[in-house]
Amino acid sequence: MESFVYRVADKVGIHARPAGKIVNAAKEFSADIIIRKKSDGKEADAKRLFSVMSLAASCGEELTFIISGEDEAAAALALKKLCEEALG
Amino acid sequence: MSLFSSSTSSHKLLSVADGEVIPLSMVNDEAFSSGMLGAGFAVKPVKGVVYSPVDGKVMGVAEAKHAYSIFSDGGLEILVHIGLDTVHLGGRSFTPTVKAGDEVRAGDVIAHVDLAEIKKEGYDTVIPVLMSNIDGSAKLSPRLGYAEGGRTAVLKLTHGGKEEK
Repeated sequence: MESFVYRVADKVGIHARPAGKIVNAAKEFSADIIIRKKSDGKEADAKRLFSVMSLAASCGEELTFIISGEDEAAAALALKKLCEEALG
Repeated sequence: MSLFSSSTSSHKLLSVADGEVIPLSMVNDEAFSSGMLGAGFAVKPVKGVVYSPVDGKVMGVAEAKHAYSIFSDGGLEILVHIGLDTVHLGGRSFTPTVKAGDEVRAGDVIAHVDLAEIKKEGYDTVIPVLMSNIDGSAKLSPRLGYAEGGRTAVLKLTHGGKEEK
């Protein structure tokens, strides 16, 4: 299992566009990828837009990505990079 | 589990507003036009009343009140996104009439929208309607042209998510 924490930097939170980016990146991997929101413990399946959007993660929120499966290391790396570079 | 296990419902999507139905690929925002967020269609609204395209359950209303997710009785995950980048309005111009957990019927009003205000703020009012669990590369042919919100059927899908001609 791999995990990392990302603090939402986008001032309007994880809306459709960033959620779509996460989902598309996550879909590239076979590993199970769960996103857990710290404030209320809500979890989302990173491969489903619906699920990620319903987290309603706002700016400053801490999200933990929990990744498990064969390609977990690569998935963790790719998602971390996406969060830091593409989501701001 | 089949997404389309229901044997009774036809997976018919109604227009979400009065206005012109256009292909998703014509939406002026790559997040939608590329199919990245799913397959579907878009409506250029002429009236600020937004309807549910399907029978289903409201899964969520975005904090900025501009996006509505509805899980259809037929197993479709539908996102109705009112305007482009309208998340930045922070809820201004939108008055939802539903909340998460509500059951809706196709044609029920889900929101009232001040289209003039959105335009004045410099945003496009187009409403992409996406099925996030249908691959964006799926070639759908929605019924284009003028449609009546909550009444005109724009897309018909078979069980299995294929388009019904």
